[in-house]
Amino acid sequence: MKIWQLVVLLLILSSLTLGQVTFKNQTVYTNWQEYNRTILEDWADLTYQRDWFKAGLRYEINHPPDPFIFPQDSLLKNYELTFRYLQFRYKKMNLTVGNYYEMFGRGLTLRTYEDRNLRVDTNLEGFKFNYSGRRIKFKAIGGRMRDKYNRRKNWLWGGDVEVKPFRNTHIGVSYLTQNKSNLKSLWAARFNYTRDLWDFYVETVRPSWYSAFSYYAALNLYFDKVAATLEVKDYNHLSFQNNYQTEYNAAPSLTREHEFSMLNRHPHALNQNDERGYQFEVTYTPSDPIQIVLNHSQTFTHAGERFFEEFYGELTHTVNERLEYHLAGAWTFDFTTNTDNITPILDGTYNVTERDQIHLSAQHQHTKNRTDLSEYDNELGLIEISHSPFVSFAVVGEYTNKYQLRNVQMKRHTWLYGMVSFTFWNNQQLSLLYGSRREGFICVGGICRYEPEFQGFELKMNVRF
Amino acid sequence: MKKGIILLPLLLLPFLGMAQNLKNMELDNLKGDTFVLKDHLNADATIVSFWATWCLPCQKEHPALQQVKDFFKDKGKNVQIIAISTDSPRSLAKVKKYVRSHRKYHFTFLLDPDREFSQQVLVTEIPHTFVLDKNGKTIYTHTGYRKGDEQELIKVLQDYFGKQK
Repeated sequence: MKIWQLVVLLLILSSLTLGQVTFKNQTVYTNWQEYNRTILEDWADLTYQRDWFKAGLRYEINHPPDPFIFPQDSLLKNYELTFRYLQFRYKKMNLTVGNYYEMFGRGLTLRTYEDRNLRVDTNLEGFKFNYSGRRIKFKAIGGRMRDKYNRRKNWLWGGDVEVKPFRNTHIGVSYLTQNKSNLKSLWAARFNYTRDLWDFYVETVRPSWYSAFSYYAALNLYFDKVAATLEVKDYNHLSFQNNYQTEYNAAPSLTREHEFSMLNRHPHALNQNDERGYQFEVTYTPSDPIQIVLNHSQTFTHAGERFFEEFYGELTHTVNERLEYHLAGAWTFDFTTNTDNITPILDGTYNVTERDQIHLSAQHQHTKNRTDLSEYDNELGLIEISHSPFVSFAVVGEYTNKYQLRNVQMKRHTWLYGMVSFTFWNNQQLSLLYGSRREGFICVGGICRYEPEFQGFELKMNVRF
Repeated sequence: MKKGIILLPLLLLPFLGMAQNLKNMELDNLKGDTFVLKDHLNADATIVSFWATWCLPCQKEHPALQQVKDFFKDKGKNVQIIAISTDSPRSLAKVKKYVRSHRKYHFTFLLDPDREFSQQVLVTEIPHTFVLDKNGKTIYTHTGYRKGDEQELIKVLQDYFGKQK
């Protein structure tokens, strides 16, 4: 049966049984002037729901596949039904057949997820059973994970049990195994104790392919004006992959996730096979309009080599109903590029009227390369004017003297783009971008995607019914 | 195949306005207790907002949502606000920290750490806000936050309460 016939059938059935149908479509059309290339990407999600039953599907278009994301473009189908499921619910039990996402504990053993910004989708295809009681939670899974080309290979089987023997205490155990691989299986145990003013979490994992334990632990303290978090990690041969080298797990990276783009120029990409370190963060709120955040993190290899280090501070001050600003600063050491980076940021919003706002951001980064001792600066400026809820205009510019100082012949030292976004007809959104955008990283939870320099036109549209 | 792609939006036209079903929401709160939306539909209306600690616009939306709640409280209407954190489990501490340092927000804070519920209701960008009527039916959705978006929420709720009279 063809895809559109399936859709028609689903819609007819829906209308007959008076269930609820939701449709969401996300389109990205990109014209790369430099390469004379146009790319159309689309994700159409359709779900149907009625009481104890739910069904859904996702249809993806990559026409043609973006070569920066899919280097072996012939492996990916341009049009494909990539996600479909049926879900049945009875009291505290749930059975899913088809595609699904799942996570055990904090992701040290299993975390499958979708992040479209990263172009990551590691859904499993098979079945999932959940029981969620007051004192016990149980999950059983079986399925094959997709890689970025939507290929599936090894079967993964697993289970997770979490019990609550006492108030505030949770104890959990997980086990996972796959066929046809040297990375055969792993098990994990976790403990979580929660009080009003503090809580503690620890999880340890033992893989079958290496005789070492990996662990993650977190201690959190909460007081009236101060809150503190200390996290430690030790990941030793923890990466659990299928035969397409796609990871089933995604352990906590223990580096701060930054909102400001300049702070993502030198990110830390998680290496689950050889990493240990810590992160410490304090949040101080002396009064309602003021908040101070201080963060420090370090990551080493097991040989003792420092891989990443960051000191970060941020002040948020709401001056009055109209004006708010963020003052932030970071010192970052990144071993991948062997650079020290100092990054001050000033970011503020001014509410002109109840619906009109101006947003300004100035970001500077000074970088020193430890290998050749060269130094250079990057500047980024943003101006955004919005009239809620209908329209916003933004201009973003960036400058670097990196290539001038190194005497490298580069075509470009400045980048400038303009963007306009419209919201219309009950949350339908359209945004248009034209200009040039500097290369950079998009990172979520230690997983990063390199986005190359862009020159051209981009259209994004989100439709939802 | 291409025909199907063209046909898809056309086929959906008769279904415009059909509600997103959030009524089956069952999520844990910060204490680990399960919150079932069906059992808490006793307010005049409910606003459900998906957010995360790393999302700046989400945090800017929160005072605006409190403003909406206060606006209707003065008019004798109880608007319940449910803020669902999509932070990963390891960021649970950050959610707690945030809630403790923002006690001025009279919200019900819930957790969706594996984003299973967000996926079910097709929330892929945050902040994402739903307005539900007193029966839990969705009457408005909005993605993103810019100053002034709360005026739209007020307008939607005023229209809804106006029709109730």
